Amino acid sequence: MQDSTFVIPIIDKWLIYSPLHHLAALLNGAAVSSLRESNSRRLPESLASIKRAIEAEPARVPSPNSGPARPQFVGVIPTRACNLKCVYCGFGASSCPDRTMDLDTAVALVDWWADYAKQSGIDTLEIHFFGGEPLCAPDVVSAVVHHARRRAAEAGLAARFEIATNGCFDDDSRAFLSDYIDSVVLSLDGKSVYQDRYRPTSSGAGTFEAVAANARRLAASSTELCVRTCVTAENAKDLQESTAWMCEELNPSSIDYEVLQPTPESDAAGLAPPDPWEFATAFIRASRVAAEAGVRAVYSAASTDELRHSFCPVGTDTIIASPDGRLSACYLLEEDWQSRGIDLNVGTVDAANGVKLDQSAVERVRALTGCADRCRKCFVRRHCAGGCHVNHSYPGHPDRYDDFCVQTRLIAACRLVGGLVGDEQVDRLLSDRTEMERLALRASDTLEDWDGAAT
Amino acid sequence: MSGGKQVRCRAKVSWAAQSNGLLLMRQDTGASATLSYPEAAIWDLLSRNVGYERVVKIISAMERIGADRAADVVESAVRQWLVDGWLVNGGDDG
Repeated sequence: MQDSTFVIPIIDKWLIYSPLHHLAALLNGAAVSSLRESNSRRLPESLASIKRAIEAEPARVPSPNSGPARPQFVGVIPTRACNLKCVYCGFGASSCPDRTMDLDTAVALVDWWADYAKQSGIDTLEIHFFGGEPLCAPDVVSAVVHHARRRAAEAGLAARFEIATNGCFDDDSRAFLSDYIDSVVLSLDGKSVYQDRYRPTSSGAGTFEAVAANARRLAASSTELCVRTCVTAENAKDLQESTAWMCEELNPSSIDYEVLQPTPESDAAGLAPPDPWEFATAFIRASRVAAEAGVRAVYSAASTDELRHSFCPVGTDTIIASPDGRLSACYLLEEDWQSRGIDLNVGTVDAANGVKLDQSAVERVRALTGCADRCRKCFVRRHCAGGCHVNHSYPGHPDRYDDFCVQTRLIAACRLVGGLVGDEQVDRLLSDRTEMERLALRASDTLEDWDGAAT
Repeated sequence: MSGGKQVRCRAKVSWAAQSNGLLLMRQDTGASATLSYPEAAIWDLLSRNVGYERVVKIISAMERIGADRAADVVESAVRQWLVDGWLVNGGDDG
């Protein structure tokens, strides 16, 4: 019980949280003390019911698959090329602009996925497109979508497609997305003052008008529109305003806020990630604006409605095909993970030989998803699962909370408390930096280590 | 519709993607036809102004056939759509 139940300070109260029992409660210190010490027969019924709940059989601890690979989806990177020149981009558009996946390779990948899904009892042929900008290789996208739809129909499977795009495409591409793509993840960093500066075309022109126009049209179609916003120290200050604008003007299903990952390019552009304390506050306030509009605000790491053993595709058996036919578990550049001493390659695909999946490599990648040392006593560990394996929980990472941990812990706690008692207690917390630090920097959240201090 | 082939979609023809292909509909007569693959892909690509040579390459990859045979598949489909009235020659009134 005690290593799966956490106690988090919320000003003069304590948040009891047991993710494996789907339990959250806000108690005072005396109640937590009673809960920890007492036999449940001596507790008042309200506390006894909590004690019984956290002593019950927990949900299964999320863990990697075993046996043959069981991908949730197959990722396709048709090209690393891009028609934009985002000032913070570290995805390699400038270093490998011309490589496009061979059409025969793309078809071979789909054939393998259809056969594999059918024989593995996977009911949906799900394919996600990443880039670069996938629509810079439109023929690969078309070939994959049409071939997958055909193979899915033949095999009695559903087909589902998702694409991450910069939103700068013509009417024909937009029509294609509306007709065939289930979910479009469109990058937009706010209103023109940010979007035009952060995400210009390769010739330096602003993209705000074109992207906003495409977003509006997609939102009006049957395709799910998810807006992805890169949050910097600069645009974090306007997060509420830009959220209100996106909700009103674009009407997306969700807005996904991703904190800037520093790159040499972002450094050169003078951009920095937001202060984690300010970001947490800005996100919580923006998420209220979004909720009022019926739009889901997402900061994925702090999403407490899902138990995870990995934050990302790594370790979930997801297979991502690069333009050169390399199969890996991650859509970042190979040199990024190599620089951390990680090998995320799991196989190859080409037209002549089809997919060659290395089971030992799949198992090696699964083993990367064990809990990082700094996560062991953190209440968010079952949700953020240590964050990005390449940029955050890489081998040899510092054994202390970093900015990602701080903002994730704050946001998760605020969402849990808000769900229990509403916004007032959350606002009290977010207006008191000392209390925020007490929550976010606490080395251990376990009930076992709880000392009752500061109540 | 077909790059360099001087054909175009008849007026009042609309189409919608279906799980197993594509549904063509004539709003003036109520006629409809289901296109399965690869014809569904050919129609979709040509209707989105993808150039003829690119369509042939995509069909060649999907069908695992050479470019010449893929060109035959594309041209055969276009001829049939002309016969069936889904397409008209460029200057004809739809």
